[in-house]
Amino acid sequence: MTVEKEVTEPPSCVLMVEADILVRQPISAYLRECGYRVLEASNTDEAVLLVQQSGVAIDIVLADVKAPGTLDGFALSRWLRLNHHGMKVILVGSVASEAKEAGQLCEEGPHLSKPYDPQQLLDHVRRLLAARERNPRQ
Amino acid sequence: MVRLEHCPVPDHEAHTVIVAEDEILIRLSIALELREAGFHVVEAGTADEVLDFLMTGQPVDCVFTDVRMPGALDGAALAYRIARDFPQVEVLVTSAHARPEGLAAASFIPKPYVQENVVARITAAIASS
Repeated sequence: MTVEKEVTEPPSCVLMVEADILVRQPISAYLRECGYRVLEASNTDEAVLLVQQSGVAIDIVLADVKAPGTLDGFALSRWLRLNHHGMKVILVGSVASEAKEAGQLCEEGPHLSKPYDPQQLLDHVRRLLAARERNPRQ
Repeated sequence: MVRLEHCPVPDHEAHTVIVAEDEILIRLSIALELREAGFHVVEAGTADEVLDFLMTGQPVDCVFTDVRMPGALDGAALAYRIARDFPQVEVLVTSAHARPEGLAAASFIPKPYVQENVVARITAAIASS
């Protein structure tokens, strides 16, 4: 007789870096409703602390390119690529001139633009996670 | 701003608690504890963020705030503002220092705190309101 053991994987984790609570809160709540674990940072210093010390395995970092802190969103993205290569980054900005640089830093396509379209964001998160599952070393 | 029409309808059964704490790892920890206890949690790093959220008119049952935070208002001043402008919202204040003058002992939780006790205090404060 075999006993089947139910194995449930922990939900994928998104770290959202956004200064405005009126943007951060509804998007974080939306992603939680969609089944993701969400960590919230209001600036890049908090984001770095969460990456280094929270003890939570973060899969995706969703960062405003203009997030306040010692680093801006671009610099945070570069830091993550250097030090935490497994984490995927989605950069979010509202100015066209930000798009080119963000596109070069983001994996799997261009950056997202503000205002957020929650469905577009969700699709992007799913694509990144699926790509990572196919190529876990990337 | 966010196109909220695409967002799922939130669970209206869950009570909403704002956690105001500028130490990110402390905020994360108590927010997770409260979410596991079934609360809808809004995370804020300053008193200004708390007031910004309250002014949207979204229902909030309780604010759990640290005293020492960056910004124009500390947690004690925030508690006063909430009592004056949002009297339906319960407020619990925490600090590693002495209880702020004028704040009722029943509204104060000294640091370091046991997270389960904070959940119990918030639950009781909401139940009594």
